Amino acid sequence: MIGRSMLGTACALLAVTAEAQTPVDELPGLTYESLAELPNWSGWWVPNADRIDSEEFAIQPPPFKPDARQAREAGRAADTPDPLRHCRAWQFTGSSGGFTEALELLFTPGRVTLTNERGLIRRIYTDGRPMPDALEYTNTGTSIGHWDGEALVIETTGIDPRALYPRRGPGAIPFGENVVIRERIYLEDADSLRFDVETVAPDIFTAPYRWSQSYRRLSKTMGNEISWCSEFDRSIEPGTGEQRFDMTPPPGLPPPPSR
Amino acid sequence: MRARKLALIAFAQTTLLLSVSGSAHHSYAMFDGSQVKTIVGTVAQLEWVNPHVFLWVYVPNPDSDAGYDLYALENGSPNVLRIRGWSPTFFEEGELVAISYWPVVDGQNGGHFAVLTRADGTVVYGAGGPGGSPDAGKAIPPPAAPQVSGR
Repeated sequence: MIGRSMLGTACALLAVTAEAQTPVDELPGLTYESLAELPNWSGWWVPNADRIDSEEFAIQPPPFKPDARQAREAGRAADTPDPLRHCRAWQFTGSSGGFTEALELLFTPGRVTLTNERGLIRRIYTDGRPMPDALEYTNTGTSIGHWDGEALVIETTGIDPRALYPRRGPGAIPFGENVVIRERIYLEDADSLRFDVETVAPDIFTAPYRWSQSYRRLSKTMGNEISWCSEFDRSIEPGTGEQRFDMTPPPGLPPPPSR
Repeated sequence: MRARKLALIAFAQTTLLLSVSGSAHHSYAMFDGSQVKTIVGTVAQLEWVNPHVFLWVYVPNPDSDAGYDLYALENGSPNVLRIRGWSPTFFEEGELVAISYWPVVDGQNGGHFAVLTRADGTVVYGAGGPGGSPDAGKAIPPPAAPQVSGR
């Protein structure tokens, strides 16, 4: 359990104010009928090329503390095999999509559900409920949101401090305690969805980390599951996590052409 | 300042084209990113699986008992390749293709897919790979049919 009071509130950019002015029973999207009044975010959304992975991206580098940066660099240099790193449950550390993961946002009364192709599920409550006083740590935290006009504003807390930042893999470091992630999601144009994100992670950052990520709509593309689990990965030895190049022919490989 | 930012964006876009799904999965250390090689052969199978699609190709080799070597070309994930127009039926078995790839460093017949050219000249790009070679993103000539006899 963590105390709500420890989470901090300093963020004018994404301040949660709208729901305080609107009676709860009049909030947008509380009924199936009123969902039609919300912006059209249907379809799948894929990241634009304006953000590659996380901290490696030179345009929006996170403000790592020196010891956190050192831990990241040491971990990346070691490329420490971790046989489970590709099979762990997805954790939300600021990016709902990421490098290749398309995402979708599903509207139901009082809630927005965000999923991506790798299995992330974020349940964002927009029914006017407050952030609980006490939270249990989870992989994706607890998300409370509200509609500010056409924008969805979200605050997420309660992310497991052991969650790996920026994501599992070489050089990942624990996210730490008292993390707060604030997002503002809105359409930049008809087919471009933008996430403005502020991440407060006092154990690893010297200051709030503000960055943005844009996605483009793929209306006619059906989302597909993607798994990096080493169980079926020819590049990773499942037992050890070591890299390999497995040339065991696949089942059903036809014979070579006749000579 | 603006020019520098634009340069960074251009670099990022180029890097994305050649290196989707990179460091967080594996480091591509098993591939030699400093060079690309080229093969001409026939498609044996497109193995459409997570997390990496593999293209298996028979390449003529008169010095081998079978007359062919089997090559394996790692590629990006099914979802990112589907966005780029690939599908499980993207190639026909026996289709003649020319492929450039980053070779695997352990000397096996294979590597990471870079660019493919069909017999009709259609150029097909993949996803991911170690990058590093200036030839990696270049289209290669179509295979000169017939490269493989008996089919």
